[in-house]
Amino acid sequence: MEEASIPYLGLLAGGIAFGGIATYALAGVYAERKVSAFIQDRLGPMETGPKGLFQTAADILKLLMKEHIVPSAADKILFAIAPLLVFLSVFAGFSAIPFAPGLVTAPLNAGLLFVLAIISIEVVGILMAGWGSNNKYALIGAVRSVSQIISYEIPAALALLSAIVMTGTLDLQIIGMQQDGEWGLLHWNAIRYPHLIPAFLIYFTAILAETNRAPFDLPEAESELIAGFHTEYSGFRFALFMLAEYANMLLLSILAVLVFFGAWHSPIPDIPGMPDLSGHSVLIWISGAGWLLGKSLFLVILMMWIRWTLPRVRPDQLMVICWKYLVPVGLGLIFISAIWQLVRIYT
Amino acid sequence: MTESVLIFWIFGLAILFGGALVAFTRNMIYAASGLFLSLFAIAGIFILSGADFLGIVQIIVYIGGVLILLLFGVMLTRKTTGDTLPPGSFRLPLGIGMSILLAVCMILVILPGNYEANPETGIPVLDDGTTSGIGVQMLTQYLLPFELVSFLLLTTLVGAAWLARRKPAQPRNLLTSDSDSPIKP
Repeated sequence: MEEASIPYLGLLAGGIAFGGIATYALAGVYAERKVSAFIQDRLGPMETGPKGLFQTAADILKLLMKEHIVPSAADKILFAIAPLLVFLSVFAGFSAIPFAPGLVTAPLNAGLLFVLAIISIEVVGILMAGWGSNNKYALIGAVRSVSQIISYEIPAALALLSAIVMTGTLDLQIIGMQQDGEWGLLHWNAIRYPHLIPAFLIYFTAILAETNRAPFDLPEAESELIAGFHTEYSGFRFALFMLAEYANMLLLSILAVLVFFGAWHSPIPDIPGMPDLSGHSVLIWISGAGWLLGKSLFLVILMMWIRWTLPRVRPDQLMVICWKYLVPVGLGLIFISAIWQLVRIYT
Repeated sequence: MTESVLIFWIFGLAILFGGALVAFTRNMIYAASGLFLSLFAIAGIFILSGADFLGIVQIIVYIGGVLILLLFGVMLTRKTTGDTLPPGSFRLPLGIGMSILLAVCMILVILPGNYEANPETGIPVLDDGTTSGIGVQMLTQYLLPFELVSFLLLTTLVGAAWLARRKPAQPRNLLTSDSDSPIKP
């Protein structure tokens, strides 16, 4: 509670988080272009800077200097609010994420639920963008996007719930601390409770759909819808949508690592030769945040890998995957979790 | 004036502004946006008062559920622009009567309550409202209402699925695999 009494510390943390997310998004776009290039046996961006490292920085400068184009038939107010709302909802989700023990801006005792709730606001922004653009491709893209997101929120929540039944708390800090131990990797939730591995697979499939990424990128199907709900956007507002997409990928990956893969703990607890960090809280924070972000970024790369590997699904396949496979299996996993806890109580 | 009181006033004004927007605008999407602002600010006041679980559920149920459904309905059934609500005082006396009745009922409920101000924030706090407390209460003392509500929701779900199902006369079913698609090769 000491942190909360200093009002400007929250603003400072917000500023650092924004800078971090923006830098990560720059690197993320570059990584995506490189990953796609390597998968397709190309080189990707090579001209700007060594190995094309400054390509995305140049791109973002170009985007920021572009003219704001607002279609004359668009709803001016909603058109302007929508990208802000989409980005802010994802950005607010980061406030409840503990990056290391004690390193969290909003230590909520229902943190997991808060993150799920706040990112569902993104949907309102997408609908505003699609409707406010007054463009049929944007509207169809928005409707597709929203129906997909609200469908796949259910299997994602069910998968997390089966983990929550095992941890017994919604507090992300406590979930992280529970996975500590001298055996490292073996204390991670997905290893301790093996039925959480299929739960993670369900969650991962669902977050691919929630971030509108291939094979679930129907809302942005270029051949049918131009660019989906952000067809009419350009310049900084378009940059905000891209920022929100990459930030959302990272946020949902961090959530997966926190709940399933040992949060900020390293897979090998005492690496020989490593200095003892106990007592140096700042060093513990740096190492914890490093492990958490490292594992999360691996999941982000995995999402890019999948995007360039699998073809897009059809709308009917999308709904069949969600309602006929992911949801029933998710319910089954919650049942296994509940029985596990019952056995644990009565033995 | 501490920061939390300032935040309380910001949220309070947002609720009033959102409500006024719902009442006075002729554009359905603006009305929905006003509702969004109101509902979100109410969640903010819940969280500010220490009822974090209630605030989060407010966002999930009202914004993630009710409001999205409303927006979806409006967008799928109305033209995108130039379509406004008809002007005029629609059932004005009835509306005023209902509003006064609602206000009286709320005042009667709220005034006699015993509110102790939170010493830290100076904001009246009714209850701790922690998640585990609510969970334990729901599965012990309030188990019967909880189960009844869940049964009601299940019935609604089954009913909605039944209504959305195609009639047996038409064998085509969109949710099954593509093998029974009407377009045969």
